[in-house]
Amino acid sequence: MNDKIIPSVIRFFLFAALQVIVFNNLQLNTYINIFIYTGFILLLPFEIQGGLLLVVSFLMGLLMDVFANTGGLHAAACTFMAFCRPGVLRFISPRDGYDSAGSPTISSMGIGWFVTYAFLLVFLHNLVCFFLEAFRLSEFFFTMAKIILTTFVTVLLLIAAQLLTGKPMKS
Amino acid sequence: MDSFKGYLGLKDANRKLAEENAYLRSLLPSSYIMNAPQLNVSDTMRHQQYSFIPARVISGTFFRRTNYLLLDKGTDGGIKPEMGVITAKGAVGIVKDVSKHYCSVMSFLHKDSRVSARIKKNSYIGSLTWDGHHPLYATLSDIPKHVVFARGDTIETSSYSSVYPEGIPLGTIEETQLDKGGNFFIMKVKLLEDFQKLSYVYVVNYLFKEERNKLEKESVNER
Repeated sequence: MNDKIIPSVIRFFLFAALQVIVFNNLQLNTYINIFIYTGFILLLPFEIQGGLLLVVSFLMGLLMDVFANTGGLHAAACTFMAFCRPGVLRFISPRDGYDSAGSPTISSMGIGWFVTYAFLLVFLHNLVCFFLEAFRLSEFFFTMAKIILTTFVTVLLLIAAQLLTGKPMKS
Repeated sequence: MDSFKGYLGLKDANRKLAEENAYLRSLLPSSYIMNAPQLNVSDTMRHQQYSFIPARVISGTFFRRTNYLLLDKGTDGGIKPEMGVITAKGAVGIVKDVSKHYCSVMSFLHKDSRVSARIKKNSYIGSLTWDGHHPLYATLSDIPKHVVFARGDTIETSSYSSVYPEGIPLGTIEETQLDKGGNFFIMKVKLLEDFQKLSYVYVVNYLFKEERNKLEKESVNER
């Protein structure tokens, strides 16, 4: 457990810094607003569950709110994402269950599993985030288009980042 | 070497020019209103209606559904919440929060922003909103069906607002269609101001604002 805490703490600050310094300033267009910090919640080890998971995710969201001047938007979306994580994990669990000492990365779970996992959770996060931001259903299709495009780009970046930095893939 | 120094001094020169512009703008006839038309005790014919505070945009977002800008003037510079922010080419937004040296501005590029605008040629008034698709385009609605206009006509701020001065150009009509009910036009307006390139802006100090708002509120309460 202890050897998982320090990498997680480092990842917390790394993803937060990446979002604040790079992605908050990377203004592409109205359809794509990348929230790369969702990667932190995705990559938390399996052991982190329940209250701890919710609190850690909430803190991440709160930090993002502070830097983006959004009162609770990211905190709400992150907490919702953390709330959904156990359910998503159960929904896509491999035949022989999870190795409780492992972590949800490409190197330990394979790329196909990770794509489904990341896509579902990032989608749920963006769903809450963009609909709370717009706060109206009259722009439903515009908001949905934003959510789907952003989710695709975010997942693509998270995969690329892992392939470039992570351990070699399990064959 | 001299020309290089001149280049470095551009920023300072810009600031000075902006201050000068703000001063000149406050002298414009549109910044004044006639005092009581009858000649009476008042020894000046005109009262100053607006004063302008130059400020620089430090940071901002443009592609969210709710966008904000940060300016380099705060309470020290005489800025208060709910003042309007303009440039020569458009209404930029409304001051939201103010600290000692900075203020945050709710950009026009915001889901809840609404500017009372009129077609310059015939003074028909509608409201300009941002639909969130592109920072260069806005939507003008509530113009009745019978109004005659052409593509490319200028849209400017109306006198209905207690935030923005009258007659600031906002954009040009690009495309029009009728709304669902068929009685009003919905127009796509190309904004003159490119928000992504904003640097110097003017914060509007409407000197009669409280008086106007109070009176408007009173007459609403009576109804």
